[in-house]
Amino acid sequence: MTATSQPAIELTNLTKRFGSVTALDAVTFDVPRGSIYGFLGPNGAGKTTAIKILAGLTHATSGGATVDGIRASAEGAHRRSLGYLAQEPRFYDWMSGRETLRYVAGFYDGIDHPERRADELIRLVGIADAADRKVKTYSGGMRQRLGIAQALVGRPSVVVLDEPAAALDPIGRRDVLELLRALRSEATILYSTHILEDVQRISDHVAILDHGRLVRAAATQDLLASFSTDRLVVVLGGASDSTAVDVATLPGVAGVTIAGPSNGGLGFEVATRPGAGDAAQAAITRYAADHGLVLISNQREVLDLESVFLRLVDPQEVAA
Amino acid sequence: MTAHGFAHTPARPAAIGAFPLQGFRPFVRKELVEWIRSWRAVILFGVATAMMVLSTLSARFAELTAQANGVPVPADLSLDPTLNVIAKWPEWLFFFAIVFSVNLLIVERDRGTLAWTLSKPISRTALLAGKWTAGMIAFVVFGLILPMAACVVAAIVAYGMPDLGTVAVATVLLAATPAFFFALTLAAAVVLPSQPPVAGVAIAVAIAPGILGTFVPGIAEALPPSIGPWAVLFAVGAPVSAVTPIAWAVGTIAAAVFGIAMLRRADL
Repeated sequence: MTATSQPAIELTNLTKRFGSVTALDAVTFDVPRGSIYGFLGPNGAGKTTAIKILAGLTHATSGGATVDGIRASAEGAHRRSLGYLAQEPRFYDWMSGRETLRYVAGFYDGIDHPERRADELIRLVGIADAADRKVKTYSGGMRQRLGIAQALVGRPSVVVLDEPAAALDPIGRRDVLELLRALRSEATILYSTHILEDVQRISDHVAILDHGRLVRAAATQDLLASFSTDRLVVVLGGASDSTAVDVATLPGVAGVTIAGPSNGGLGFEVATRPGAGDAAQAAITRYAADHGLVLISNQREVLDLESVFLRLVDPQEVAA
Repeated sequence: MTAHGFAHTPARPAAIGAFPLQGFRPFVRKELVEWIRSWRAVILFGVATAMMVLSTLSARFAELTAQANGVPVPADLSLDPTLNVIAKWPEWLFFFAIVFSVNLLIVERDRGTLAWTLSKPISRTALLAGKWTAGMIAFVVFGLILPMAACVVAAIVAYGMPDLGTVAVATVLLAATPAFFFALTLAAAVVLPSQPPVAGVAIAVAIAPGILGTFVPGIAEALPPSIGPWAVLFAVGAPVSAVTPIAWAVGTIAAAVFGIAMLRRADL
């Protein structure tokens, strides 16, 4: 396997038990190089445990993980390639933000000008005004920004962030997303979050954990596409309530609900028979043409990531 | 936060394998700065100097008190400048070492900075070795050399010029006491949950020679804490046991090995 084809992160049968509690159960997935990888799961799913194993802070009970091809371990050779932000970042309160970044820079051989690197990151994360204040005076959001900066000090090829936007206001959250996008070409990013809208917006891959087990790991678009439903969203210009009765009789259509006015027409939610989605779409297109209606929309309903997530991990949704 | 013009190109290809002391130097540097900026070094210097200068002068005080009360000066009271400088150190040094080392690792663990530092390219061996090394440097300078120098000045005023060679040898050898107790408290702090039990273990070990020695003759000299009295006896040319430095070395190394092994196994 070449350096470029090798995954940036590999989790292989990663298992962690705390006494009788299994926090991770044979979790296996790869994070492709150069990707932004969303790591999702409800509270207690095992995300933080997996991330701590990647950082070399916690030992796997069995299985293992590699970062940049180097086995993640307590002794930390792999951490030369890894930038890590903990869920609740803690720093030395007696240091300033600038001193914190200089301290971290000291651990990396390749940082020729630690001061310059610290300045660059201070500007990047927007804490220039507070850079020389002691960290103990920082707000939660400023600590989070400093946390992101310290994760990037060593110019890591892999960045692992445990809920990087958790303590940030909407502006800070937007800034973090921008930064992650900017890093895409230079680093592989694995990050956990509960903000699924963000994941759908910027992540090209997602892995979903639940009760320590990997529920799904896939490219984001593939995952969403795999959850396309047996429903069509149809909007017809010039249609009336009686149109619903006609549409309900078309081939492949199982039922019709009037959704109301939409985009200059009348909207319908059309339930299709299993495997008959294409036939129903074609029939609706023909119907509109035959009846002089303007076909504004005739699309399969696509679930957003939040809906997919709930279907995968929410017991009620799973049962439904 | 702005990503415009931000250069992030990874600095170098990842090196394979870690050497055991990876990250040692920056961590020691941080520790030394923390000893100074947290006032720990200054407090250590103040406490050790006050205690040891008073101890140095205690013989002169005893003599003056006896004269003032018109009673004879005790026959065993020595006014030898060198002995008065160094003789009382073993009684106090272990105490200073325990007090100023007992929280070194516990505080880092409680405030979360232990896990944070260990998320950087530093090995756990280097972290523990760095704690011990920086602690020893700070303690030897601020808790031993500088207070010893103050004791020498006090002795010159109170008794006359001490034998500086003997004082220097004693100072070097007395450093073995904090070396052992720093290793012991750091190792204990890896496996114990808070400061009181760590201090308890250290104090129990410190007083073990005195207690066990009353039951088992000769055992005291085979216990690492006896290295303090041994250092003073060696410095003044008195006969000493060869067992004590061996016991000290074995005890210190065993504590270090245990601490490193347990920290390497720990989940943070």
